Amino acid sequence: MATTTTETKMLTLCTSDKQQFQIEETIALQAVTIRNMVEDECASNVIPLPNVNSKIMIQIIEYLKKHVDSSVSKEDMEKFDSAFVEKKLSEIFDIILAANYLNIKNLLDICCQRVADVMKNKSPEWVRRTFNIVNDFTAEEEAKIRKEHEWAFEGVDED
Amino acid sequence: MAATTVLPQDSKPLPFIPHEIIVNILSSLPVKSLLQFRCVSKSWRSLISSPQFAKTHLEVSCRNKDYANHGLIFISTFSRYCLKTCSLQSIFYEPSVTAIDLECPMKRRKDGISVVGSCNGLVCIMINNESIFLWNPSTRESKKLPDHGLTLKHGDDITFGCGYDETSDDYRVVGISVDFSNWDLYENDVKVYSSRTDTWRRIGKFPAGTHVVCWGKFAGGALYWAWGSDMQSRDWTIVSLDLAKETVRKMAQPNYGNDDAYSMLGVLGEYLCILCQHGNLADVWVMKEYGKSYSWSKIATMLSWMYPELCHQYETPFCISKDGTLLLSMRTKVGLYNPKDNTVKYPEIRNSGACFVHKTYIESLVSPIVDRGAERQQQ
Repeated sequence: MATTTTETKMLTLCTSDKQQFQIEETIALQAVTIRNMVEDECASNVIPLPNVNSKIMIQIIEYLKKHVDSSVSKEDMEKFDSAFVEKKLSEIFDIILAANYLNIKNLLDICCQRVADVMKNKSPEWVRRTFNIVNDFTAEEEAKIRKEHEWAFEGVDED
Repeated sequence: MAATTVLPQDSKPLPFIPHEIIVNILSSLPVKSLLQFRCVSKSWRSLISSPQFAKTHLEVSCRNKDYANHGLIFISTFSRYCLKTCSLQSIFYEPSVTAIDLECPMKRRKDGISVVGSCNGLVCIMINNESIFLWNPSTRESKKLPDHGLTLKHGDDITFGCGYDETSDDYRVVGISVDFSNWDLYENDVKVYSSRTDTWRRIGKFPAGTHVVCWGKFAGGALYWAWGSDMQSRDWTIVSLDLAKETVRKMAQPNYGNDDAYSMLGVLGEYLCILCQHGNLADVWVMKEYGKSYSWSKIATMLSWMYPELCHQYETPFCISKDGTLLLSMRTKVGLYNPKDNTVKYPEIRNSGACFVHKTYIESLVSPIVDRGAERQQQ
């Protein structure tokens, strides 16, 4: 690490459950939403993040700390990313919503890719359950749509 | 499948997922899954069926440089002539891969089939040298083109090329017939098919001469042909047709610094490519900037003397991996040439038979049929 004479600037983030996180500004500014708040000077000492809870914030800080480190090779970063998304789907969705709110594009993309990887061999029924989607087709309509691409339904995982 | 445990019934209900995130997730899915998920709900069906989503999905697929969403398509002699496909990613990174049959719009067993080219997931094929189809092998949707009506007398020759004009969001097929009756003139007739209007229309002529390679090569919004005085000509120039402006231009080959070179034109990934054989070596050149002949650069040299197959190489490499490995079509098989250590590997394609005419395509939702009614509604 290069030694710097300037003091490391810190930011305090406050999550929805009123937990405070002190992190280096360079780490936090990777989140475009935080950067905009700091640039617009609408953030004073403490930046409130009412849409993110502390449990998710801890994970997001872990991600941001890794990604601010320019000494990490591309391969190691990819390894970190693929290990990072090895989580329960409900947790991934929470991170997706937080990453969307905080505007951290790469984090959002790797989490969406993770959801897609889990989904790709699943049945439409599994998808409806997982995404809380109500099937608004009649049985006849659904059968007709299935018939159009019948071959695409081969090789689906058991639910 | 390394299916890590995912519990659909997690302890808490899923939060509301905004539409743009649903789009982000779905655009990372393979086409086959998306075709299934059309029946999830009405809103999912209309999203997955929309041309806008097909474009987003295509952009995401193109970003994957491991070719996770690409297929290799080839003509196989297995039991009869037919089209088969296998994963391009497996070709590069696994020792063997299994091919599956493609249901192409061919009607009869004895029909002859040619693959003209592919662009954004649409493969242009020609059956029995007459019927031309734009066909998406991933969705199995196809469109038979109307008769091109190019003047064709006995002994004339004809060539096609397919591509995409981004400015008008239009898939194009270009046909050129060359009149061989007057050896000095080589008059030609050029027509362009537009998927948007579903018609062929005549455009300006090509320079006198004829095509040296079979089909037009598409790269960066233009189709390119090796164009010479006869079909076996070793001395050819490049003729390009810009699909947006419909301008025809002659372009120089790179300066090989060798008079005894034998060169051929192709497409490597998204770049126009030339394979130049001289002595016992074969240089691979790509045009880094579209339409700019000064941007030709040599990216690899293959030691063809080490591999007899390479001495009879009449096609350029057609695909390149992240680490520079070149994929070559070698008569009845494919080879992977690694320029770093000059080794060739031959990935095994099971269930393929002898296979030839290899092309790559990207799996996409792009439809060969332009629904003009739906488009008017969107506007």
